[in-house]
Formats: sequence, structure tokens, C-alpha cells
Amino acid sequence: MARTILITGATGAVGTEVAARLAAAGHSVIGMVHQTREFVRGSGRRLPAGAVVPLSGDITTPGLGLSSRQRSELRGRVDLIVHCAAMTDFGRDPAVYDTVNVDGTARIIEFATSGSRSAAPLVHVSTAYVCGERDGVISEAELDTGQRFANHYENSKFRAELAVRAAAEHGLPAVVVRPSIVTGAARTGVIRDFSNMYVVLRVLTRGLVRTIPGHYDAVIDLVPIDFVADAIGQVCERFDDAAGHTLHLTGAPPLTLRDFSDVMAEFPSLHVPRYVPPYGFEPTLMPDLERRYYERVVALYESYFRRRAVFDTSTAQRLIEARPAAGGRPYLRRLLRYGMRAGYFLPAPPPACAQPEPRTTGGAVRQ
Amino acid sequence: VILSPEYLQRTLDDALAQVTVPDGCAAVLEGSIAAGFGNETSDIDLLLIEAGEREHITMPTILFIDGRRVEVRLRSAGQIRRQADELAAYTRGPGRRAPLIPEDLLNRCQRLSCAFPLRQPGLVADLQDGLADLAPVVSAWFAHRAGQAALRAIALEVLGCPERAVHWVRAGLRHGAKSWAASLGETYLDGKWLGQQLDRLEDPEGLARRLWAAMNADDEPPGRQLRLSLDLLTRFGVDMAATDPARIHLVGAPSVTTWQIGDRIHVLRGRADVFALGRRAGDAWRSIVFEVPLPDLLASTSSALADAGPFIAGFEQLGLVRLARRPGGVIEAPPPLTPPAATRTPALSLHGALLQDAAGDDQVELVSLSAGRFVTAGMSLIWANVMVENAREDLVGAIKRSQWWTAEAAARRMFAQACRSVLSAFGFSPPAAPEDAPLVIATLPAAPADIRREAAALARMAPPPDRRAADLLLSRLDDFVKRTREVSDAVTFPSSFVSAQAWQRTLEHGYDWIRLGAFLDADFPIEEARDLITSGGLQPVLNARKQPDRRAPDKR
Repeated sequence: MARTILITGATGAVGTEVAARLAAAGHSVIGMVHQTREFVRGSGRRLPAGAVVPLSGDITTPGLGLSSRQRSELRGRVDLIVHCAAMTDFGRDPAVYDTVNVDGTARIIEFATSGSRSAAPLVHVSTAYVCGERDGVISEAELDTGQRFANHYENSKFRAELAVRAAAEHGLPAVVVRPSIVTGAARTGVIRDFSNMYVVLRVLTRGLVRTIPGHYDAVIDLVPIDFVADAIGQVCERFDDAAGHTLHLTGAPPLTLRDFSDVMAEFPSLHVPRYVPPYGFEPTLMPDLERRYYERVVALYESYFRRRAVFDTSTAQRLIEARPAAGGRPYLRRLLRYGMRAGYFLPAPPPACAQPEPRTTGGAVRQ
Repeated sequence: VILSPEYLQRTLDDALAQVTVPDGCAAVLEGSIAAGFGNETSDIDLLLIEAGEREHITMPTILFIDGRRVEVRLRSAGQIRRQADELAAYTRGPGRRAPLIPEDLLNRCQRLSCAFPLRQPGLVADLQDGLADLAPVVSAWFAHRAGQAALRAIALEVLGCPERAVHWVRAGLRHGAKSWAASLGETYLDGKWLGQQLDRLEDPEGLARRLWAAMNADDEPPGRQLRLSLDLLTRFGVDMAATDPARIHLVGAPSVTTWQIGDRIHVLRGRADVFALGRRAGDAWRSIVFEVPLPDLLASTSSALADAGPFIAGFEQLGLVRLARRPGGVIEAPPPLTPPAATRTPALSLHGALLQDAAGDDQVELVSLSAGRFVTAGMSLIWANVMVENAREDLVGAIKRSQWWTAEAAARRMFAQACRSVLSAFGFSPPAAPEDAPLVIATLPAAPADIRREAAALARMAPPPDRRAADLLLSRLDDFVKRTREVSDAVTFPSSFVSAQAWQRTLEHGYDWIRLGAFLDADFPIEEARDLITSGGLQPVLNARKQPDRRAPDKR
């Protein structure tokens, strides 16, 4: 049945892919846009004109940046909300995560439950890493276990999920989907934005940071973006079955740091970092330039090089048919090959030209 | 045919009198004489064909009859029919699979197709009729080889290796001419009668003359030779449409991996061969990005390394990377070159393999040790040096407290581990037992004489009776360790246990080796080293929650 679906963060990498699938399935898709109105897919192609109706809005301002009349009219039309907008970049001011991820989610909940109609069903895009630094098997039902968080991003997504759960207890029909680290398409490695883990990989594979504190058996869970978008699309189609559930959208099989080491060694131009025990590692002893790269980029992700979390996907497997089309080492090879073809994982320029990179690159805000 | 039918029948009779074969076999003459070539020194190739299905070996019986070498093979009719079916399977259906036909299969079938019957011509004709039309098959088979050789030549020219390019394009020309000849019915596979084959063809364009000229155009610049040859290949009917160098790129070779230890780049071929690269060779290796058009790749490296091309060509020759064309996939390559292993001693240092010429920036050397033994030696070298530091710490402490028994034991341990470090550097892998190491060093011809002498002397060390003797022994051991580290390029080895910083530097030395050891699932010098891999060095006595947290992650 065709519905009217509002997507926040609709110009982000995940949001655009979800919008494309929902539009192709015949739904009327309204894409809330903030900084850009361009819906560009991983392939570089724009969505066909009219596939998604752009709506200027801002989840970080009261009333979503809409007039009360616009809000009321929108609320009257919308049958389902997919909340993709988030600050996924690392290393920003803590207040940014509160504003975008926590307060922004609260405003979407407020919007979904406003007006005289029954609450608009919500698909909330969270992250598998709301588990924080826990190791072992993480179930989809678990949320608050007293976990410790590695960064403000995880903490903010955790609090956003708490808000969604609280609203659900008061009658908001909601599904939470938790992708792990979203990376390129399963069969091609294609990704629109080289952000987050890609930035770390670039610094490491260029040999700009040669030593990182980490465990060879630490698990880095990469999930293909096309699988994430397919899964969210299926959740929208089967919302009534999925309502009240949380779904892990993760890679299969996940990769260990040893996998990263061995696969990167297959490419002559890529440097392989050495992993040293975290307990004795001291970044102040690094050469100056390497230390600066370490502190600006790698340190933000350091916690992920120690973790051994394994995400249970029982609920996701029961509720959705989509499965990652590739995983493990072959998938990592594809990601690296695509990054090279796209010019992202190229050898570092000669040392005289090298400058520390900005903290992160790419459009990490799914808004 | 240069031999008369009567002569051939007599030769067959003589041959049959000397071999044991089933009665009633059909017989044919095959090979160059049957194809109308040959000379006084040519062999006579006889094939005996037994009715039925038995499998016979291909190996011929060699006879000498009337001053000629005669090769006699025996096959069954069923065997020949199965070969014909196998060949036909490559030529049927969609796709161009003719280039994949094994040379021996194609050769066996071609020889039969041109065979001259000597006995039971009916059976022979029946078997010949069962063969596919070989002219287009052989032509496509050679055209593929011609195209592959030409692509290699084009790539080599781009990579700055014009002489190798000429050799390869000439190989392509020979294959191209064979393809052209085959398309006109001259299907004989061996290249040695190419001239006679061309002589028998209608050649209004004078291609044979042009071929001769191109094969002997050494006075022309290599680039012009290449252009002329490529043009001639087109005349031979070889598809040279997609030979723009921008279509050629590099792809990875299976099981080739790169491991940097210190500043030295090591490339593993399979899990056995280790190639150590000099500085410039290493820069060229690091410049390789797969799937980038060769001209673009070379342009991108030019600022850092002007002549990366010949290095890359050398890597390809060693089977460390492969050439590929888009479309078309991997360009076929000869078996990888394997040079003799380096003979330098010591073979390795703290920082990886030592090159024959220490200043040789351009060198690409095969390490004398297999990969497993190489990494075991490297890890043992590191570990022996750590143990030297550990023993020295014990020795200094024991001297301070006048604990002479402890001092003696620590001194022996320090000495033995220093000897083991030298043995590891010389490639002993695993190194000798601590009890044997001093005497192995003392008698190792490749070791410096002063180290051999001092090892022999220290092996007889007496327990220090007092502080003065102990201090002297410590001083002597320090000198010995210093010399052993000079030999193994380890003079900068940190005093591992004096500070956290020194331990971190020790780890960095060790972890480059351990990273490679983990990849090879090598034996670690001590089980604790394996723990460092599997647990990340987590120490059970350290409480992670009490460790200082530099980034103060937020706690909810």
C-alpha cells in the first residue's frame, strides 16, 4: 500500500538510498533537507526529479524549522517517519551531538506524536555501537546495561534510543534499526562519502600513523550501505510486524584487525599498521607529525581497535529478508579497491608536502 | 614428403621388429616429415594405433634405424577419439575457448590430422575424420598468443624497457605469422618450420618478407620496431584494436603481500619467498596502485621517483604483480623469474633483511631464508636482545648486592643470548640452544674473527669472585654485546627495561616482526609473544579500569 513517508537526513548517504528504494516501491517520499537539496546516490547519479519531494527543515531548531501551519499540514499527510538525520562524525564538540542526535530525535518524536491523528509510526536509525565498549554477544533487545561509551557520538545515540523507547512505552509505534559501521555497497564497494572509518583507514594505509594500540582479534563490524537501505526499506514495508523491535544491521562475517592487516598487505601501496598492546602505548613518544595525525584522527577511533563485540541479529533475520551480499575479507578487498579507483586510498604525497588532515572529511551528518 | 613410401614401410617393419606391440595395429607417419618438412637430420615419428579403448602412455620408444632417430608411439583408437572429443569441446558453444586448448592436446590432434597412413588407412581416415576443422582453431590459438605477447611488449615499452619490448613483440610476430598461416591451412604447430610454411602460401602482400625484415630490424630504434611489428600483426589478422596503453594496468598477484620492517620493505611471494627491496625499489613498489592505467600510474609517481617503470617491469617479471588489460583481464605471463638467493651474511638485522650491497637502493633481492625461517630468525633476534637486556639488569643488581652465584648465572645468560642474537642474524632459524650457542659462534667461519675469539674465551668464563672481577666481566660482556649488535645492525636496540619509553621502542621493533609472524603462523620464540597477538598484550595483573585514560571517554 502506497504511503506518504517522511525521511529526515534524506540527502545523507543512507537517507538517499532509503529514499530511492521507498520511491521506487511507489511511496510518496518527502525528504527533509537542511544544507543541500541534492539527492545523490552512491553511484553519483541524482534521484529522478520528483522521486522525492524536498522539504526544507532543521531538526536542531524548535518546530523542525517549520511554521506551525507547515507542521500541521505535514503531520496530516505523513503515514510513516524514517529518522536518518544524525551527526555521525567523530571529534566534534559534545554539544553538537546533544543538539543533533538527542534533541533532534526528541523533536521528531514530538512531531510524530503531535496533532489529533494517532502517532505517526517511526523508524529510528540508531547505531549498533549504543552498546558502548561492551565485549561479547550483544543482543538486540539490550540497551541500558551500564555500559561505558568511547565517545559522545555513542552516548548521544544511546540517549536518543532511550527517548524512542520511552515514547514507545507511551504509544508511539517505533522500530529501531542499528547499523554497525556503514561502508560501501556489498558487490562494488561503492560509497558516496568517504567518512568515519574511511578517514582512519586512509591515515593508516598511507603510513602516516604506523603504530596503533589494538588487539589482533578486535572486531570491526562493517555493513554494506545497500544492505542497510534494503533492510530499512523492508522494515517500512513490514512495519506492523517489526513494531516494538530493535534490529541489528551488521556485517557478515565481521572482520578482525588481523583481517585488516592481512588484506591491506595485499596492496603494495597500502601500509599496514603495527598493533601494539594498548597498556604500554604512549602517543606522546611518537614522532611529531605522526603524533598529530594520531591525535587528530586515529585516537578518535582507538576504542574500536580493542573491542570484541559480536552483534546478535536474530530479530533482524526473522523480520527482514535482506542479507548482506558480501562480507569478510572479500568485502574488505572490494572497499579498498573502490577507494583506490576513486582516488581516496592513494599513496601519500612526498613528505615535504604532507600536512595533517582535518579531523574528519566527508558529509558525516546524515541530514 | 622427403622420404619415399617404400623407405617408410621398410623403416616401419624394422621398427616393429624391435618393439613389442599388439598385433594388427594401424600405423602412420606423423610429425614434420609427414607435414612435408624435415631434412636429413629429422626424426621419423611413427604412431601405432591399436583398436580398442586402452590407455597408453605418450612417451615414445626411441630407436635408431638407418642412421635416423625413430620415435615410436602407441595409442588406442579410443584414446584418439577421446582426444578429438576433448578438443571439440573447446571449439563448441559460446565463447572463444580455443586459446585455452592445452598445447599437447592440440599438437597431438594436429599431428594426426596431417599423418601419412602406412597401415590400415581405413581406420586412420576414420580417426582423421573425427577431428574438428583445425585451421580456424589453430589460427585462433596462435592469434591469442600473438596478442598477449604484443600487449606485454606495449606494457614494457611504457615501463621504459624497450629491449624487452622488442623481444616480446618479435615473439608476438612469430605467433601472428603462425596464426595467419594456420588460417590458410598451414596448421603445423612447431615454430621451426615457419619459413617452409610461409613459402607454401600465396602471399600477394609480401608478408613473409616483411616478417623477415621486422625480425631483423636491429638498426631501427626499439620504438619504431615496435610500431612496425604491431602493424604487421594487424596484417596477420591479429586483433590489435584494444592495445592503447591506457587500457593496460596492474593487478595483484595471488598470495603476494607486503611487509615493512623498520624502513625495509619485504614482499612475500606465496608463503615461501621473501624479496627485500632497496630504498628506491621500495619507493617504486609503494607507488603501485592497482587498476590505474599504466601511463597515469607512471605520471603519478614521477614526482617522487622518475624511473619507477623499469622497477615495476622487474616486479612483474618476478611474479609480484600482473599486467592486465581492460577489457580482457590478466595478460598471460611466463613463469615468474626466481633469481638465486642472496648470499650475504649476516642475512638480517633488527630492521629486516640485509642487502648484498648495503647502499644498494635499487636492489630487489631474494632472501636466502624461506619466509617462515626468516621471520623466526627475526623474532629470535629481537627476543634474544630483549633477553640480553633482561639478563644485564639481573647482573647489575646481583653485583650491587655481591650475589656472585646470581651474577654468574646472569652473566652466562647475557652472553648466551648475545650469541643467539648473532646466530639469528646469520640466519640460524631457530637459533642454537643457549648451551650450544657460544661454541657454534666460535666455530662459525662467516662470523667476524674478533667475535669468534671472544665467544670462545667467554665460553670459559669463571664465576666472578668479587666486585672488581664482576665489574670487569660486566664491562667485557657489554663490549661483546656491542660488537654483536654492530654485526646485526642493532646498536640502537633500546635498554628495554629501563623505562616505559624504552619498552615501547622495543615493542615497535618486535611488532613489525610479530605482524609478519602472525601472517605466517610462525613459531614464536616464546609463547608469551603469541599471547601478544591473541590477547593484544592484555596483562592479567593489570586492571584495565585502573589504567590512565588519556581521552577521558564520557561515562553516562
